[in-house]
Amino acid sequence: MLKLGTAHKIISPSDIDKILLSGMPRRGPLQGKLDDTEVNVNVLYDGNTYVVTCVLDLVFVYKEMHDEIVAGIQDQLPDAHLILSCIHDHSGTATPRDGDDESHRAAAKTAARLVIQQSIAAILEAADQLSEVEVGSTRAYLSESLGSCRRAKFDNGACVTAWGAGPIIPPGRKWTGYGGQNANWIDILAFRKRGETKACAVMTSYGSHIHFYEVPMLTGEGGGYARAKMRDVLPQTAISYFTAYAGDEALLFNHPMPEGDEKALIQWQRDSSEMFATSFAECVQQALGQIAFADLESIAVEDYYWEDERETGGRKACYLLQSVKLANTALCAMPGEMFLEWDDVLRDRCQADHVFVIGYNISWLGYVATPLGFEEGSYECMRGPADKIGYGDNPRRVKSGTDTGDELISKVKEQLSTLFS
Amino acid sequence: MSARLGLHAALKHADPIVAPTAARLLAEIEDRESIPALIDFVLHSRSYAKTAGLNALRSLDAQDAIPAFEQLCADPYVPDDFYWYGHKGVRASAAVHLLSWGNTAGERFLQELLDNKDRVILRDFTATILQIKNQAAEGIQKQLSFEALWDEAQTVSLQDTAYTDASQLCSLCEAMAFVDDERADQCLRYYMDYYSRYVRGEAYKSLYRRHGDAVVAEITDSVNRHNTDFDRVVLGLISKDGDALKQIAESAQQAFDRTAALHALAEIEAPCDETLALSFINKSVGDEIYGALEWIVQTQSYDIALPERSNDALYDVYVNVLALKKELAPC
Repeated sequence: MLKLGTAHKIISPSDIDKILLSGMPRRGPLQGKLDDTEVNVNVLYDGNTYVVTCVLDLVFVYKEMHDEIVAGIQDQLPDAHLILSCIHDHSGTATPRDGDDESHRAAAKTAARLVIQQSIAAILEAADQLSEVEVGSTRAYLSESLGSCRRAKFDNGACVTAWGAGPIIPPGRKWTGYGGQNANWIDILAFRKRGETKACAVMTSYGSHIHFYEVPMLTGEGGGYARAKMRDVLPQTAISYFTAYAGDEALLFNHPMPEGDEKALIQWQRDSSEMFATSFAECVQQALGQIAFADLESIAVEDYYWEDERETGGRKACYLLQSVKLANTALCAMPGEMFLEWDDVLRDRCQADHVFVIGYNISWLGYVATPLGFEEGSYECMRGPADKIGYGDNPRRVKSGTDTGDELISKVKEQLSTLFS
Repeated sequence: MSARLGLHAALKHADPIVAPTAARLLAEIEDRESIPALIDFVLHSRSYAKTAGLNALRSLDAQDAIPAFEQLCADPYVPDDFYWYGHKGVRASAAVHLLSWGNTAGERFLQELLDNKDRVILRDFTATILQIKNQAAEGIQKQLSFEALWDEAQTVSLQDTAYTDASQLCSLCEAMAFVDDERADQCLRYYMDYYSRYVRGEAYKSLYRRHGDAVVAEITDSVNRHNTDFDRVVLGLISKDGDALKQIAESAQQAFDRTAALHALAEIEAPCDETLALSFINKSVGDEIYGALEWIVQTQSYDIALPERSNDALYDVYVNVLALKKELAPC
């Protein structure tokens, strides 16, 4: 019988005046904190196998973080399969504001340590509270787009990213539409204690960048707000928000940034996040009523890890594919900056009834466009494809090849075939 | 609300595609009464895509708008995306159009971009600058030599910049049509075999622009070798083959290829096939809807009864443009 434990903890850094967070507007010093950032954990256990999902409000997570957390839980959860992921919050991943200042370096180090310590603490806390649960899943469709394709297409077929990365219309050109589909659905994986009528834990997976990142303050961005709103409408339920594919999607167009000073910018960030979170939570709440829950005897897991032999800037191109069979649902962890169009390829002739994608795991590949996406261009593939996964002609930047997406999805499908055949 | 007022309202629409489409079409139907609304759009919109309004005003030769262009050249009134191209792109757009009027208010800024080898000028404005026919532009034009463009394309691809981007290579190929150097042909022939069909498409068009019918057989050969619907759309456009384009519009697998075929039919002003156009317009979603509307507008097919469609601001733009164009047409 499947058991589940959940926990979440705060990972907001202290000394935020001494660190820089990722995201371009935050290259300057932070001016305060709007929201706390979190780690959210689910520990699944079937009597033999532990599967741990650990999702952080960070922009990226790395293999060394994965290895450190695994080492920290090894004694209590031997051989656990850790799925480490992040929501791609640009409040994440601190660097010293002034690299020459020892106190700034210490503050960044403390922030990084806190992430690891709180992740380990949350996992161990969740593992201490395991209860028997049933599992169910569904795909819920939004009544209107929240995340939308951020690539606009010119009449000559070329694409340009319709935000800061070149969205002007040159003389003689016109836009004929967007470069892809909008993120109109939310995948939901829910757990219910035996004998109860309501879900005790809900995991959501949504395919869009979550940023409203223009505000130079610590914030959970769209994902953090969606999670908070789901907690409001689903009290007593443990909530985890995951970002799936987000390569070509963003929360931008439904919530254009207004005029005004910093106060107005903060209000816009709150209003936009509230709008996104409200629609998101309503959609999830309604869909939960449609889920059929079932018992689960055992968990099956397939892992595949690849890394490049070369190293650049202290980091190797790599990807980790983790597929888990949970009754009729496949949980697949993979890179996050894949184009949303890959979802159709993944689900084509898939043996699982539902697929729940966790993006932004420890893979390090850059954007993974579709082959046609590379032909079109845009910020996400502006450096062109590499000959194969790796660095292409640019030793400083990891990038994908035109066949990277096919290779990844094929391997995930192989995993699913093994698990579900 | 009148059709014109409906279009002016569309200039304020939040969707990044609606407002620029309205601006472009107002210019294409030569509605000079909309010049004040277009000036208001370029001065007050915070969207980078308001460059479509600058294009429209220049196309209307709206010299009343020159002070607005000068203002935007100094301050584009868009968010400063310092790392990217939008803020600089709006300034450059104003500067280039001013130059085309013989006004050098933006020349210094363009020179700064050139000195910095900034991709803003290289990716979006080279073709336009090279087509300007006045003395004011000569200084800038001289710097956009074949070597400058080609060297830039070759060297920066080794760094982390955008010249390996298919979108930028399309711009390079477009510019090569206007480069006074035989080596441009060699460059275009290289890109006629590029992996991106869209780069190939621009290379076909530019080679045709340089040599006309003399290169159609060569382009046809390349199109047949690559054998995609999009390659065939460009060939249909070059050879003004309405039947071939209609066939692609009906049969292409990719939605964009169908859309591109409809836009090409509009561009060559092939007589509008009502049944075909309406078959797309009656779809619930898809960019082909607007491609078909483009065809109807460009061919002034006023007799086609367009169906009602709710909550579709882009559709309303075309309906209003058609109504206004009919109003403006001589009796």
